[in-house]
Amino acid sequence: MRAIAAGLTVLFVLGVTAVSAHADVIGQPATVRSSASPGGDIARPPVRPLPITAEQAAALESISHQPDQAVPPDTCAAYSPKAEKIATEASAVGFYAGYFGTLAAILISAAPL
Amino acid sequence: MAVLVTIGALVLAGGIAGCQKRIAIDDRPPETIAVRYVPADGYSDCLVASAVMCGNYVLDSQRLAPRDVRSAIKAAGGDATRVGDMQRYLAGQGLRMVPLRGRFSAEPPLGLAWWVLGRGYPMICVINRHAGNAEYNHAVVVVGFRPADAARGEMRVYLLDPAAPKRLACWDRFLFEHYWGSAGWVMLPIFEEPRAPRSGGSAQTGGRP
Repeated sequence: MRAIAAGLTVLFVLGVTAVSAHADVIGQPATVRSSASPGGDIARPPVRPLPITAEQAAALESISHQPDQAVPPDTCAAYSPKAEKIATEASAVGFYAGYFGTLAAILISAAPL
Repeated sequence: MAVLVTIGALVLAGGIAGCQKRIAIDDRPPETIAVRYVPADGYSDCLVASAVMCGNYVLDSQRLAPRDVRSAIKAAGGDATRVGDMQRYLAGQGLRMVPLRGRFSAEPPLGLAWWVLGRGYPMICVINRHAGNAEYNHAVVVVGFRPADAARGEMRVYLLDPAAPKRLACWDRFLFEHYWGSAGWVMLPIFEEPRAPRSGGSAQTGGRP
């Protein structure tokens, strides 16, 4: 029975490794797939950015002040607020607790009576 | 039977855990803009790092440094995670950042593909993986596109994520659009302050060279 438990642990590790390698190849979580056509022609971008003229810049500023286009200046982009960091740490603790708990349960149930 | 079920459950759990891993590519594909990667130094530096990446690329130099940008904005009483404060700082560096609500198209002047492919500008896009909670807004830099499958025409988005352990990521278009839309389609083009007015095309009408 202990051999079976050890085998199960190996299978679990192999499962993680195999699917991780597959994710590296396909590049995306399997739940997100698409079938629509692209939004434009695929091309290589210019080697250097093409200059924006004063008229173009003024037009962009004008667009950016339209009510449906305005982005509030207090819009923030922060990598990871403390709440997410704490949540990440908590989920990591939960993951490892569940992992080792599961292993312990398997080993206990597989032990000879 | 119970053993088989346990084996299946473990393999499935391993598969789910493995699926959480996202691709990252370190070699730059030819269809991407050659932007020098700048990592975020802290938990709230994604906008600084993204602005430095785009600013230095536009200036064709390494004039901007994340530490200097942070210090200057803080000294001016600003917040380096705020778009408005970053806009003011860049204006003092001869750069203009115009916050826009873009769309995933090649249509000027709001199309993301138009800016990246048509004009050659790396684009800061604000994404959010937790829709409805602006505290999770995160800045990334889009540097190119490629079809995932030529037959079906699916598109992928190359982006530089200042917070990613690997530098260049390649996301499914619809995954990117989902995260981008969750942050309100905010994109932040950075370009050099125009030096002299010229007659001719405008951004409204496309301004294609």
